Amino acid sequence: MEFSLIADCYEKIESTTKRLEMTQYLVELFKITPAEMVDKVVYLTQGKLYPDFVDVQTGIAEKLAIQVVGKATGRSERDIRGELAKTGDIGETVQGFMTRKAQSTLFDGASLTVKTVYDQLDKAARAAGSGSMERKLSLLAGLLTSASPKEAKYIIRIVTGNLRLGIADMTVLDALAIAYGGGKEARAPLERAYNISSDLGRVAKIVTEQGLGGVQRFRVILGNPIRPMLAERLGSPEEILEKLNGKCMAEFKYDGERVQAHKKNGGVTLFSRRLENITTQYPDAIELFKEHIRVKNAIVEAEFVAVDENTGELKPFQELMHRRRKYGVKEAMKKHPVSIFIFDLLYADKRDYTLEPYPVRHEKLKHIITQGDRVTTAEFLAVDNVADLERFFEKAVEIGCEGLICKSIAQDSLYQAGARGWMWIKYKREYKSEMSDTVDLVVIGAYHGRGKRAGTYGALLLAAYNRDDGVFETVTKCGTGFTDEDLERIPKMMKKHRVPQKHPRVHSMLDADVWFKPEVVLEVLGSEITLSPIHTCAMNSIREGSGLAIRFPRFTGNYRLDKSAEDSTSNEEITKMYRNQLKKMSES
Amino acid sequence: MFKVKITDAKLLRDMFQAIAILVDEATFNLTPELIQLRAMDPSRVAMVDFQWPKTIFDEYQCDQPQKMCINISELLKLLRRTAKEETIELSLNPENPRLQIGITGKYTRTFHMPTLEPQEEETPTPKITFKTTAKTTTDGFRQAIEDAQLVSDHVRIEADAEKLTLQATGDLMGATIELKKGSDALLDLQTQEPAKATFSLSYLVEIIKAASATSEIATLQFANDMPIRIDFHQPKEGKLTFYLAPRIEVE
Repeated sequence: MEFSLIADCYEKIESTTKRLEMTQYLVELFKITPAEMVDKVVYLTQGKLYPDFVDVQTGIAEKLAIQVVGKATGRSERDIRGELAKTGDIGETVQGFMTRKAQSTLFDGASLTVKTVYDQLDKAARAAGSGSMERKLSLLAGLLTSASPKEAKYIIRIVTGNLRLGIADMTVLDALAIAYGGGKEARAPLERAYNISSDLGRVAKIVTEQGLGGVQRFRVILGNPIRPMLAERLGSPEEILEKLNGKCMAEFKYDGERVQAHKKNGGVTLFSRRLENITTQYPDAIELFKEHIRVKNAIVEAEFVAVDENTGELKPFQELMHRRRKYGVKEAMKKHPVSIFIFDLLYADKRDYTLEPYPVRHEKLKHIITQGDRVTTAEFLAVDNVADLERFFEKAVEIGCEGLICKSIAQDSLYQAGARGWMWIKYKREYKSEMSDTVDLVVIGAYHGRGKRAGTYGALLLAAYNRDDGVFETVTKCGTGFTDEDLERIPKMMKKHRVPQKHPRVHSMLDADVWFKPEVVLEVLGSEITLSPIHTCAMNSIREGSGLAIRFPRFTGNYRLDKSAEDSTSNEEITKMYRNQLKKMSES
Repeated sequence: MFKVKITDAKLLRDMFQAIAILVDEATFNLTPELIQLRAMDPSRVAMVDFQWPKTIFDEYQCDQPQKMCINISELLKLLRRTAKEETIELSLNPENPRLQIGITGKYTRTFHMPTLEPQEEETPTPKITFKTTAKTTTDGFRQAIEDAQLVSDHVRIEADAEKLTLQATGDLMGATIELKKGSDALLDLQTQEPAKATFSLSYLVEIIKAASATSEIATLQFANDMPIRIDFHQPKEGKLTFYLAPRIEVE
């Protein structure tokens, strides 16, 4: 198959904005494509060489592209840059220069076939190690030399990631349905095959070679990521419960990275939400999955969350960004450990669980994992009333989650790969009360540390003062902001204030490892104030059954030795701060 | 069975180097008489034509003609590890598609590398009627080319009855280099009619740099706006010839 056929088709597609016409051009292209080439044609049409989850860097930077064009046309890089500034498109630029080349060749080349183009691009993409830039340069320049100006335009756009034909995945599926599936009705099974394999090329090959029957027999494949199921969003628990027929399974929506883990014969591969292979970023997670998933073959979905290794507290999503790296993975792994919260099971022991309702998947999931410190199922609760849902939501937010995902437990609650639907409903906060000022809080309890903090305290339980009742009400657990000196100093300092059980003037629903007489005041800055079902500060003042809590607290380093416990920030002040700073959150 | 032995490791390395500037994967024809290769760079701008008779080697054994394709840059990595006076033995076992490289000096090491699918089609030789033949010292030609490179990325090579002129014009600077007949650099010049053609210096410089390691004398042949042919005279009947396509004058 000659590459010019593809270039002609792309040109036609570019000339229209109508989806129907685009689809028709693709149908024509697919019909003249031999079965053994159809997957490659599909990848190229998307400006790619492989499905997204294949971990090969296809694209080249503009700088190298300019060198390629220079080598192929004999023009100086300055000329090319000048022209590029005018056209703004490397494709147009190369097409122009190819029609007036400054370098002749010894022989005319044979016309380009799709196979040659694909193989050369593939070789260039896979070139690695020393001298790989020269090799890429020579392979790509060689390819352009053999191309017509029009072909060169599309080739350079593909390698620079600029082939923007405007063809959606669904348009390709439509075209395949018409060309090989017997008509547009074949789109649904094709779409499912795509959603569970994330590989349009593979789907194209199957429908071309085996027809619709092959597509219908298609099942989840270990190693091919499944396109994630997505959730709709509603603003109130009433609406959510109504939508889910009065009952659902609520799960914490952690503020982390959504990861799909494939365990195959004991080895583990990780895919990001965008289906990129991120296995190398998380060597710690690989080991955890090997250990905690008790079956040999499985696909699970989990949320990776950054944790404070000393306190076990969850950290915000931004902390995870330290793990997005190619180099220094080991150091990042030590400094920024993650906890894994598994929330779904898509495949286990040769069975495709995407076709099972959620309760079945969840039950099996609980069955195949060994819970541990760093690997657990996402916290869940079966709920059938607004109050429970609300309380569970506050608990989630307070420990650092974004909110809840409420999941249907009906018979038809299958895993809808790649689809956003009402089987899952997000419940996120609409308001947020950001803290801009520090508060002075009383130390009334502490938790034993672990890891590096073994022998000292991992976190302190802090309280605000309720003047009316003369009691101290808990408002946060703080384990961040302490220097090594602080960690050494605090246990000594607190020793004389220790009491065997909760002090009578302390009002707490939480159990601390160690209790103190309210004496010592510390300055703390948090990220925001949230409603909380477990902290007693200003209980019932905003909402019945809820207190207020400070999210992501950090010790500023100031010991307020000048203040007595009664001089600490009061529950009324915290309520006022909550109200004053309440802002509607932007949609995200 | 193919097996050769050479006591001059540097010579072998330099010869492969001259091929490596144009091709990455090289298909050699191995015959009972010689090793031969003809290949173009991927852009089809330059060609190398290379012949190595068995007399160059200290031992040479090749039972029947065969093709061998190897990754030249990988092979060079190994050969760069050799010292000048070391002995190199290359052998190809028909049962085992690997090239074995034995290097013997103060100690012995044996590498092996995979052979690749050989390229089946033969590269033809360009058919050109040359109008000018110039014989230069390789070094003299190299110096002239390197002068030109100071000011431009291409050079026009021109000949009349008396001299060879290299004209380089850059954006700001220019250079004219003359090699007169009978000078130390230009050993001979035969011109049927005046001829000129322009060539990319990035190719020329690489070619001359690599070839000058094994060659003292070069013969240039060219005609108006046609490819140039450069024969780098090799020791013991070896042959190293390059063809380079001209640039097209634009604007």
